Amino acid sequence: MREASIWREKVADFAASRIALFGLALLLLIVLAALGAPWFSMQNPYDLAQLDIMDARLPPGSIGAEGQTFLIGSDEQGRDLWSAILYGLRISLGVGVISTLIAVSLGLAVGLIAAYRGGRWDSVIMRVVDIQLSFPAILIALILLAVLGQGVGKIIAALVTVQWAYYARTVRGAALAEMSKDYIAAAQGLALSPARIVFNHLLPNCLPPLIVVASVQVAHAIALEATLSFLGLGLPITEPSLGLLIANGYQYLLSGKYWVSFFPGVALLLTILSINLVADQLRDVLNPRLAK
Amino acid sequence: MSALLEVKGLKTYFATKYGEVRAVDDVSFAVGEGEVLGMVGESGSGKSVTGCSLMGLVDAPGRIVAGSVKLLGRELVGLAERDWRALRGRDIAIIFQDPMLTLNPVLRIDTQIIEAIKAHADVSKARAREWAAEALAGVGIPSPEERLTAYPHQFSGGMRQRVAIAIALLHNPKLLIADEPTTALDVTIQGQILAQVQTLATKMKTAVIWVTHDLSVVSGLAHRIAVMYAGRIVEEGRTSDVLAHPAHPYTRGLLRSLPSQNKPGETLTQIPGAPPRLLNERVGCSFAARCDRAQALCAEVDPVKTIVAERAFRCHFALRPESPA
Amino acid sequence: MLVLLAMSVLVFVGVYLIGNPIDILISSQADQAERERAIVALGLDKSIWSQYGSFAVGALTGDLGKSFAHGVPALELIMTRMPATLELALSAMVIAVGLGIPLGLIAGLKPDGFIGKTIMAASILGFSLPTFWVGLMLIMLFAVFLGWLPSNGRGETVDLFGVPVSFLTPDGLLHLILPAVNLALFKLSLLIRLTRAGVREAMAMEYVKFARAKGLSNARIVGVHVLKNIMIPIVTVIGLEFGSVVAFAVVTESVFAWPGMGKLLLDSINVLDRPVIVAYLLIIVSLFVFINLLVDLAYSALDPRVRLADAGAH
Repeated sequence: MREASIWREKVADFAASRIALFGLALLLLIVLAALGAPWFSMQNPYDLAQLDIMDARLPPGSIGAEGQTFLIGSDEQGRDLWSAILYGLRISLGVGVISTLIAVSLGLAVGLIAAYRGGRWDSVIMRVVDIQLSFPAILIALILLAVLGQGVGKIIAALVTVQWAYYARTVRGAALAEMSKDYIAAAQGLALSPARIVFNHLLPNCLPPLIVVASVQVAHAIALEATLSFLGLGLPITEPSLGLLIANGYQYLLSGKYWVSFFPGVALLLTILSINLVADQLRDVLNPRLAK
Repeated sequence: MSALLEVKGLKTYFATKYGEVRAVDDVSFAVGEGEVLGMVGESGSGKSVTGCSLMGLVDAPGRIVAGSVKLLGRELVGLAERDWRALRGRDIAIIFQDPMLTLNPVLRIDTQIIEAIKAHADVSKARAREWAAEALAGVGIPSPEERLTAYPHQFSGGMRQRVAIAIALLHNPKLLIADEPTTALDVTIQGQILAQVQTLATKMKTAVIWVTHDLSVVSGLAHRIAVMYAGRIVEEGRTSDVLAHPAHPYTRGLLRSLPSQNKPGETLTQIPGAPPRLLNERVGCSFAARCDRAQALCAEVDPVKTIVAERAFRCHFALRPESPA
Repeated sequence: MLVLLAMSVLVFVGVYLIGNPIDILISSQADQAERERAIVALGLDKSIWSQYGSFAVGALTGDLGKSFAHGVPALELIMTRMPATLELALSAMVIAVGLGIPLGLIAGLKPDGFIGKTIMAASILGFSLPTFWVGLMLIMLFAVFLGWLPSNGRGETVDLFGVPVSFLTPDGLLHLILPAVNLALFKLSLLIRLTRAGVREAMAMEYVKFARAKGLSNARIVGVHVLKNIMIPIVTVIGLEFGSVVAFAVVTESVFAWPGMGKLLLDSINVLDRPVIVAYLLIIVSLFVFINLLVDLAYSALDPRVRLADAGAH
């Protein structure tokens, strides 16, 4: 009963910011567009049979050879950019969300072990976390991909590697704060099983900060994937995320054919922006330090 | 004693998402020149907010919504920030509860004293430094010249509070607001600080409003006592009168919960319950729910201020002087 | 030092696993004998541990091996590229700090005002803009459509203490503007948010209230009391972010064809030039260790509490 009312209050707090609601609406729209890509696009941009090289590099609003309209233009293979963006969004969002989910689970497990076991476990784990966090994510990801090579699974592995430490640190901090409270000592005194203490007491208290960090990190993961793909180290050409679409347009930019890079970038920007808007408000709502 | 400070119908409210919190709700009192007024109440009773209201230091979302504060006949409510600045530290000064927090941790003591001197006096660097050392010596800090170059964390809590007092009294203010300055200190240090402020205030003829939650702190210090409850002054009078014959049941409750008032072996009396939230429109007496003398009337009608021979109180069923304390 | 050693093993073994450089370096028409000769010449016939051994011995004497692709010592190669990257990173930091702190101050002092909200909105936008795409858009706008600024290279350089720099020649400065702004954007947003949060926190502290009670002017309170307190976390972050700017320069350098060591790293990854990759990483790690040291020093200079704790320990 009390739990429910607390959550209802948080939801109300969240809704108090119009810009955050706008961000949430935008995000839902983007997710919907990505999920329903086949229905919202005029062609499957990766079915070569549907492409016509005569339609290559058409500016926005052009009419193609078969009478179809290229709303925001086409790329060098005659692909409709709008369709390519929707399909690209699927990959970008998918890679970002999946890698975040894996990294959250990993970080949660490691962070809880560090907090609950303490002692040597804690110091070794935190040492690794500290060292890793002192290096920029992009550098670690670059080297990893240089070692691993290209591919969806490989970029997810790289994103998980650069992210898990944030979650581990967050979870450990929250769990330690909770462990220092007397009732945990009391529960241990009652010889409750560690699993029960961890799942019933530590876990729920780690969730709010974890949600805040994860919401920011999803945006980072998507941006990082796009950057790596742009540099040619991320996803292969067969799995074109937004970053790759932008890279494809790079060479035509200097001749003034801006749209090939411009529109995928706008889609990427709106995706990251909407997540950041939501994350910002989540932090204000869930952060007990700022709560009045 | 002519009135130095006159507060009438002061209301300071805080806008929160739950509604308006009436932290100070219709408070009136006066302080004479050189007089010490003890302002007593539980946490959340509005005593500190009253103190800050007098300095124009109420931060958003709080604001003074009504009332008047006059210092030597000059209205302070609605004063421009510029005029406030000229007044603060010169005519009215304040010291706060926690000396660990009042001094800036990254600035040296001399910086923090000299900037306060220069805010109101056009003096040379050398003179300001000399003045600062004198001020430290004045509050009993040994080897003041050396200590000037120290940082706050090199002082103990008591010493820091002395520094704060020295800063507050630099310009010989007419009124000093002491907002629980001894609460965070050890008992022995408390006594020293009390004595120090008392001596300096008497010497400088500075009036003091001593805000505290501890009746025993002000019993030997204040000329008069004002007891605050739920944003209001529920009783006010000469210290000896109030202590000997409280008129308001709440004051009696406070007195009875003091261990020193108790005979050994006897159980301490407590005031049951907690202070009310100050959100809603007042209906009846705010203390009624916790009061052992409350009757049907108390829950319905807000008691008005009654004045009987230098005593003021808000209670329908005030205790008579002859009732046991 | 231990970190350096551990990193060198990790990096070396990691990089060792990358493909087979011979396939890329030697033309496919080369016969088997030629191939063998090349493998021996590059030392690729030995086991990984003996390769590491000779690398480690060399590293101690300042020799990080020769680039497979360029045939010159990797360290020398990186050192000739490093000034370009450092110049770019420093310029970006100057822009980010020079704009970020004042804007953050304004936003922190007037969080509910129009200007404060506008600054915050802009910083969220800056946070969300993918660096590489902004780089492309900058090129499109200022180089292609407007034709005001050049889009690639360093332009004309002059030697400053024997190091070639761009910012002292008009042409070089023009070349520097776009990449520096591009690289600064993300850190600018970060510094705005950090400064704003610090200001809001400090303004709510009791020492600020006490300073107001002393009758001090707002300028004095903000300029001395607040600023001195928020500088402590800000300097730490500036130091640590500088390292990240150097790393992120990889992206900006590749967009603007800026001949720095980030571009070199990317090229080396593409041709599997192991010694250069390893040398780059070791240099970056050393740079990070060095920056951490500087941050610690700055920290103790700014925070009297730390300074005294140190003095007591020695």
